[in-house]
Amino acid sequence: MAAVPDYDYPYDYDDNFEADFADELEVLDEMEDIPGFKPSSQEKSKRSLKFSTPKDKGEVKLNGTSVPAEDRQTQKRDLSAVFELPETDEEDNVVSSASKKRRVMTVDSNQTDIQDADDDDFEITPPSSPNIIAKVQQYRETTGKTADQSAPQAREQVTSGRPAQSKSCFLRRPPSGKFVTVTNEDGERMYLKEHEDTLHDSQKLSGHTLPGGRPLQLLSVSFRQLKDQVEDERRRKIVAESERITREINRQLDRDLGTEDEEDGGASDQEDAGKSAQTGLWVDKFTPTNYTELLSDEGTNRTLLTWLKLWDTAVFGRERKVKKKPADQKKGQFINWQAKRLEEELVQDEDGLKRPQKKVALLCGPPGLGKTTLAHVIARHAGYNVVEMNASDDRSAEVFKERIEAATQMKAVMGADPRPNCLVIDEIDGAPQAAINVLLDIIKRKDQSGEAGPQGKRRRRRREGGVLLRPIICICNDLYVLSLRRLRPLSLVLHFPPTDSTRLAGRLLEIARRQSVRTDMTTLLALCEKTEKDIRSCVNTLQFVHSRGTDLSLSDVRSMAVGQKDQQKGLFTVWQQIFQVPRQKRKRWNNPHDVAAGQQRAGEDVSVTQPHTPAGRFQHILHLTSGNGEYEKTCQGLFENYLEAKFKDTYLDAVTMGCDWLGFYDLVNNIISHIQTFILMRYIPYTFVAFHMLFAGSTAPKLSYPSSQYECHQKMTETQSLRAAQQGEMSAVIRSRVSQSAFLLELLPALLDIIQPSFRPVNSQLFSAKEKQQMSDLIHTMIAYNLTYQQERSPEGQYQYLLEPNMEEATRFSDQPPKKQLTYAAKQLIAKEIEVEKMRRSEALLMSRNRNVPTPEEKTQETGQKSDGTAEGAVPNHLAKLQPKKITVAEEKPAVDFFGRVIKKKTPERNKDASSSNSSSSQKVSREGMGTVYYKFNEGVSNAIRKNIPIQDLL
Amino acid sequence: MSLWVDKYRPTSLSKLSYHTEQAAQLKRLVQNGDFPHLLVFGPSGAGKKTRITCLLRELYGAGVEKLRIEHHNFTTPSKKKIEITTIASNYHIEVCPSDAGVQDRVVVQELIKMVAQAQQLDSSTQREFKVVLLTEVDRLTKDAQHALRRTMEKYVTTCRLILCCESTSKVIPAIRSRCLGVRVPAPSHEQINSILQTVCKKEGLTLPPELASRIADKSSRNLRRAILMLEACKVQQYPFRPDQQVVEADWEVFLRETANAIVSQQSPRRLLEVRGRLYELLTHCIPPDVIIRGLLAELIDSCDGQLKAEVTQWAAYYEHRLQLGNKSIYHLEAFVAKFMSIYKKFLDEGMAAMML
Repeated sequence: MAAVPDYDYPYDYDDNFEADFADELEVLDEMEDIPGFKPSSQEKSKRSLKFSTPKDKGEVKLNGTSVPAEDRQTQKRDLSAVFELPETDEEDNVVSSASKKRRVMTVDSNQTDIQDADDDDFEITPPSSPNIIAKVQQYRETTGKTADQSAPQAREQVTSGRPAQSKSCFLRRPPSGKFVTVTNEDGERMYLKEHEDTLHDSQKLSGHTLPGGRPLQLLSVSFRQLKDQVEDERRRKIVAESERITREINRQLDRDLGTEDEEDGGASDQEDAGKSAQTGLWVDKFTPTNYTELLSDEGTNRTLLTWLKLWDTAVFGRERKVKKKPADQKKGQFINWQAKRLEEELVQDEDGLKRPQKKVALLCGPPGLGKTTLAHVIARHAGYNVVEMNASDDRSAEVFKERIEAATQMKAVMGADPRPNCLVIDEIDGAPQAAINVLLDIIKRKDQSGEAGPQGKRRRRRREGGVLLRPIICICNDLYVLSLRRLRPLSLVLHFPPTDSTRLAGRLLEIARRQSVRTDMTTLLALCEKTEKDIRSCVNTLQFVHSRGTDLSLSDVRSMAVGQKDQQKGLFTVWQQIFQVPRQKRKRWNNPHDVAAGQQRAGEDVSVTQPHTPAGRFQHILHLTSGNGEYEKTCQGLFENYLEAKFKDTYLDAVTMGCDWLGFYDLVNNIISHIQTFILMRYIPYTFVAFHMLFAGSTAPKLSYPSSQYECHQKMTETQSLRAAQQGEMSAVIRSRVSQSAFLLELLPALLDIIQPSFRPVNSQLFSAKEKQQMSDLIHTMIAYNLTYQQERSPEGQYQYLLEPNMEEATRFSDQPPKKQLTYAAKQLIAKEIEVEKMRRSEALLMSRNRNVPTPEEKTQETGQKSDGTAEGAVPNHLAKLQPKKITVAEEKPAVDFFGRVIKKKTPERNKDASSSNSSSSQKVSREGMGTVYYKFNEGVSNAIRKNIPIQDLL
Repeated sequence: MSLWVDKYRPTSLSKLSYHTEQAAQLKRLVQNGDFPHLLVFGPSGAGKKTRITCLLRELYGAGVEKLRIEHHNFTTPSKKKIEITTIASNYHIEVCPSDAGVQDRVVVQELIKMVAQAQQLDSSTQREFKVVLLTEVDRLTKDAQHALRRTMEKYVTTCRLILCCESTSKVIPAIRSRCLGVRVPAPSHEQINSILQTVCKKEGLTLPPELASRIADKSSRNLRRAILMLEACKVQQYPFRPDQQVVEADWEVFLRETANAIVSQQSPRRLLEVRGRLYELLTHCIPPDVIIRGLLAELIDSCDGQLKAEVTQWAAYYEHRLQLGNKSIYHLEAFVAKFMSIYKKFLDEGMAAMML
């Protein structure tokens, strides 16, 4: 409804009046000269012109409402139709007969008005505004005929009335003012003063006062009657209208009060809002704008503010005052140890920039507690310009860096707001690791530079990369996200406690009152409880209820699904609730009256949700676990803890059933993961319900985090990798003979026994043939199965030989007695022998390849004949030093180049060529070495002397 | 090569010491020239692999014993890299596709294609086919098995498959019907006895027959285990004594103690302890089905006759669920709990009957 034009209408009207009737006013001014006019009466007439229905106007003002413009216009039309008709007819007559100027005419009519006004209270004389004139003309067209018919009659009256006054009217001399010249039949020129005509008009208009009692009008009903009728009708209409509107407007006014701070709360807006659902969210509308309005925990607010104030020195350059006065203030209010600690911290802080030690504040807490609001309000409170980044922004590392630097190093120059920036990074737990690393870099690197750099260098640094000189507030829901791990120790972590429910409810009540939602404190408390003190959720619920146009009652809150979000309860809460039967008296929705009454009548009011009845428990657990969603972890926790729960179960029936449920869970899960039939997922939470029903006890259970499955998996992988390490290096023949499982189950346990024969504790040189045989068997076995001993230093500082790979670890069980071990010396001997044997083998392999002649050793290796090998193995140990024979053997060999190709006689020649240029001593050596030692000139290589030495020679 | 197991392993079909009739059949099969796909199955330690090796030698001669280890890389359609190790000679390739876990299908398809598409150069002197030896076929996923059956038909001219597994129950019928099944039963006690004696004779040792039969008993007809036990006994103490203790595997001892713990007390607390032990067994890579089988064997001993059937039935039930499921610990614990429940009820009923 267009309320504004209604309110403004009178004034507009007035303005138009000035403009449109400028000419009339002019005339009026002229007429002031005429002695017959009183100034007062003129004023009165003006007043009467102002508004057609002063009474009406007064009424409107009283109600504070506005009559719809259209209504008024229709009224006016009625009025004009009724009242003006005669006048216009008259006008017609006059104009047609006397062809006077219209201007004169209207002035006359005004004059009559003025005259009448004095003796008669008939003051409703609608002004001939252009609008009305147009209407009149329109009317005239429609009623033209009747007017014409009535015209002669009027003319008669005019002519009849005129002679009586004619004598005094005809003037011989031209009168002052306006006049008309008339020439009579005598040729006498007479002057007619215009006054004549108006007099006549006035007589017409005030016809009802004429003597004779006959109503002088064209209508069958008298003006008075008509006027009364119209008046009545209008009044009735207005009363009805105003009644309707009063209600509406009262509501809007309430709303207006609520939007005091909003500039755009114009009347038209309000009306739009009244018609359709309101567009703005209440949450935004009622966001706290200053510190005192904050709902969050006072301690948290204060700590954050203190922290932010610590930046003052660095940011604003003003020194911090010694905290005497504030401390006193604080004492008056409450003592905030965290804030105090922060202040102490500044003293300890060493960097030259006087920044707080923790460069970042990290707010964490469940959604809807007002973290973002707090950050904004406090930053503004402390005199910063808030720059926010949240999950909706691109948070790749580059963009993130760019934006952080933009926010922390730049400052609005152009805007009217030259305050320094404070960066608020919202929803940081969703940011990728790379982005967080960027943030960390900025915090850390600057840190070092700040500490290291003396005062002079700082300026340069700032120009280069910029020291972090602006506070950053990060906000997250989950503090323990992996990506935040490194940020946590560097930041001031502030946990958000849940809002005090009475405070929240109080605020809600205020909102409800402003928005004229009918509700009460109890209901709102219940709502707070249900939404788990989520402010946003509460306000949204309230708005939702309001938009439906209903009131909020306690039963609504209970039955409502709204406001109950997916509860992300922690795993421990879930486990706890599964293992604990809810107490009988515990009510889901606390009634404060009941609380006041000491929970005496607690039993009555819980009919809606009874968490202690089996059905209620069932539903509760189902909702709880499906809300949590981490089925796998939940299940592991149950498995880990269910046997510790206190329950009566003589024959373990419950345990069996629980195990069956676990089996069910496993099968379902397996099917889901194998063939992706996720529809089965919905059956999983019933496992937890079953567990609750089976194992829930009255006392709170001791819960431990399920780690055993993970540990088991870890160890299993370890064992597997040990096995893989062992099998990986085993020879192909052995490897192909035994499968993995058989290897672990059958072979390995026996093998570890077999490789620990008992040796006499004597030197290996003194072994009998049998013992030597045994030893060589052992060595071959160990090599074949890729086992050896390795010296290691134990934590106690003793050296010991351990099996490598350490399969003993893989096969030993915890409660079994440790097996007898070989002595240190024996192990050392074995390890040495294994090394030697390995070298021998690789040498033999190399030799055989080089010669392309199978040697006996090679045969041994391939076919598994061992006797030759052992004979060989016995030789080198003591023959190592006596080797004249070996040299001759070596001499027989042809020289071989790097690739194993036989080098023929050319080589000595080439050597000679090379050596001749080199030195004489080399020739000498080559002569003595009988061709086995030779020089080869390698450019750039110093160790040019080469000789082929078989490994046997060294052993 | 130095373990007796390896040392005295027969290398030709004619040298096999038991199932000689079957060996003769296999020999005839090779001599016949045509050679179908084979599915060799039998319990662990019965000699499957030995027979397959002998068969290959019979087919290709001594060249088949020159083995090399190869590492193959495959890329799955999902761009995941799989590395698998094969043991190959010039004539055959041996692979355990289940090493690749759930991606074994790719291995089966790619590897067989790779082998089969390389024709033998000189088919006049050699066999015109190579052999692909797939071990632990029962651990193959269904996907891989289905992939296998088409490949088997497609490349039959250039490649023969020898599948080796313990049980055919997990091999899909489509594959079973495409192969000639060769069952290798476990050797009997007498056969094991005689083999142990032969080994000792070759080593120049004397083995008391009592000890031999005890070892055969303990080995539960697993020849590999029997020979390993014998060697372990020898290392432990040489001049053998008839009453010498036969060394058992650690995990078997542990499993037996677990079973004793179950029988001695039935309560949630005990169940918790047992769970810890089960975890430990699992961490040592003891397959859960082996655990449940071992437990059953131990528990049955301490059960009354009436209970035996019931306990066995439940063991089978939970073993089945174990195979279907993924988290073996749940099913193992379920079995233990079930046993405890049954056993305790039985005991209490027995007590009540005695009181009356």
